[in-house]
Amino acid sequence: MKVKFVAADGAEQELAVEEGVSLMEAAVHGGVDGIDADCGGQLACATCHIYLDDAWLSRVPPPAEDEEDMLEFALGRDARSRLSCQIIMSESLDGLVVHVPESQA
Amino acid sequence: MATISSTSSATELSEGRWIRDDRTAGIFKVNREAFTSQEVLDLERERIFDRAWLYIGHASELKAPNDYLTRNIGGRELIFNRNRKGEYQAFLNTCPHRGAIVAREKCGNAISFKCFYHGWSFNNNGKFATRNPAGTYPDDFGKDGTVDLARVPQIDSYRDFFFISYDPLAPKLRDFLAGAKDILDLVADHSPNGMEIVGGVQEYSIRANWKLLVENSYDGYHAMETHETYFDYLVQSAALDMGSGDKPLVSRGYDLGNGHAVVEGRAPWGRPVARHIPAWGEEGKAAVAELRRELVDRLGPERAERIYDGDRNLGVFPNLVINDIMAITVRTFYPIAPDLMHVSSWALAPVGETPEARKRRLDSFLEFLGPGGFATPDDVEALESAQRGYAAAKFAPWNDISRGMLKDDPLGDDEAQMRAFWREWNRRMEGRR
Amino acid sequence: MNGMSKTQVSSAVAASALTRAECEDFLYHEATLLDEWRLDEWFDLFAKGAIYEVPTAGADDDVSSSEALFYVADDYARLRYRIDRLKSPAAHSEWPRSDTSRIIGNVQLLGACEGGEKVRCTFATFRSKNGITDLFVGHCLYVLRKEEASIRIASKRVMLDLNSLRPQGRVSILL
Repeated sequence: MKVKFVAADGAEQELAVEEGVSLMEAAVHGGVDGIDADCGGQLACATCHIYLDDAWLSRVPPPAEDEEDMLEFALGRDARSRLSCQIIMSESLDGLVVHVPESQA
Repeated sequence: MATISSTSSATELSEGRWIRDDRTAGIFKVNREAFTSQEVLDLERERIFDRAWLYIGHASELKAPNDYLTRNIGGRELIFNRNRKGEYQAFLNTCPHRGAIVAREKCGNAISFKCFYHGWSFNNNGKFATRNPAGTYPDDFGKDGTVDLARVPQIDSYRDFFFISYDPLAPKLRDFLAGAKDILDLVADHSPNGMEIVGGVQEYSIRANWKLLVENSYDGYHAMETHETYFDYLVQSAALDMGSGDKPLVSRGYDLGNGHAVVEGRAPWGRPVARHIPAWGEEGKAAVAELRRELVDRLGPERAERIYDGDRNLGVFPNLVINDIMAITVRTFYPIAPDLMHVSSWALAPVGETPEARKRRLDSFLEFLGPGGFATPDDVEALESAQRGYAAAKFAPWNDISRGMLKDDPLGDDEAQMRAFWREWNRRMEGRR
Repeated sequence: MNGMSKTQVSSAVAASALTRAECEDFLYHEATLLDEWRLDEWFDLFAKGAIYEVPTAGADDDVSSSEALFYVADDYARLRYRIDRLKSPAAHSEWPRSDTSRIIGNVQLLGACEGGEKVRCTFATFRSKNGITDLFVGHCLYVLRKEEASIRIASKRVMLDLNSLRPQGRVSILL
């Protein structure tokens, strides 16, 4: 399955991601710049923040309450914001496109 | 007994509180208080262990980015890790919150560390990574780095041997290592593919002062006496190569500067790098010949011979020993008390060694260097015995390490290497950096 | 044994050729020989070609001496030398000899394998020398078999269930 990370300057990076792996883990191991993930996926830092591409907004399951709570700390948060450590890869997300916030570049 | 430090002429006679160093008469004495006194140990911690470079590990122990291990170095719990870019780092393994040990496992792979006590998280560059609701802490809390994991003041490496220093002012590692670099080069050059730590660690202790193990580790003088049963074993199991008549088994002791020293020569046991013994059979003989060919091709005949046929026991001040003999051990030891040290011993081997060669190496290691073999237990006994003897220090106050002091080229069973150590020890204990 | 063929019955009997009582007696006898420093008699308990191993403290049961450091990884010849060495006053860490006392417990028969019967026990060995008593604890993995009427050790692996050899410092006795 594939996920595309788009940097603030438009550069694209496509990664192969297996089922069950979080977007954050894929980004860290795939060397995507700007996904800091300082707390390592513990929902404690909000530095794995990404924006879902408009085309995918309605296709990704909404955040749970504790992700909502942490999203308040995300820099440049808007309606497309998600914490990538909470998005787990599955068939229905094959081809997902996300944007790396400028603030984390 | 206690005198103020004085030096008559520049180098002829030096008498300090613990050392008598008379180069004219060729007499060197060490006061036994150096081995028994808590005050000495406290000063050593402050002036030696907290100022010099201490070995933390080998590059090969962290093979991938985000790998980490935990280890006690110089009395403190540390995290030794690589970040996402693969950079090697070292942190104090204590939570900046209220002190708990953050990384509790011996080793692993982690992009972050989370303290179990209150859940504080840190990325693997040590950066504090826990958000709290507004009003819990000041708005700029943590931005100045004061609640990040504390970094060790200095970390550096030479030929994949990593060292840390607790002193931000310590001179650069390369300068500190002085002539020891040449010996580290010889060890690192065993293999065209680099070296790696293999087989795990053996942790043991000795009920004796740590400096006794420094002395023992490059002491050629005790070999035939203490280790008679090991040499008998070699004879009995056809595990000797006595060499040809024109290459006698002579070894010498060398002062490498800054307290480092080495004994180098030719011993009769087999060397996995490339000195065959009959016990290894025809398969071993062919394998060893091939290793020798590779060394000669890569390094030229002279340097190759020094590596395959030279045995060396290196002491890097203060507490790192690398013995490149019938196997290679990397060994550190730290004083818990004046009469107790904790020892950690690893084996170093070429990357890409064949399983047969690896087995020969591990066998050689455990026969001599390991704490269950035919040699190290007797060394442990000797050191513990000396420590018990020091209880009589009031009436028998001085150790003598004068052997070979008047020679221009001391032999491996002289004590020049110990004198190199003690002079540097004394220099630092008197407060000089 | 209803419904079993003759061959099945005889293999079943062969597979359990050792009883736990016999193994316990054997292990207690072995412990006594070691505590009494009757080392040649102890060596005679080993079958020809036997191996004797003591992996590094805390290792897994199936660790290999070709890959990991051990304290002891003796084939039959080296084991013989180990005993000859211990009988000599030149084995300094055991001269004078330490006093030892072993307790063997939790003896279990784990089934047949190539070479004999797998037997496991736990041990606590106290070693005293120079006024200090050190403790070695763990479990032993044996392969035992009957040769003629006697039990012999085909292999013995001593697993130290300790974090390290601190404060013991060495393995100089026969565990």
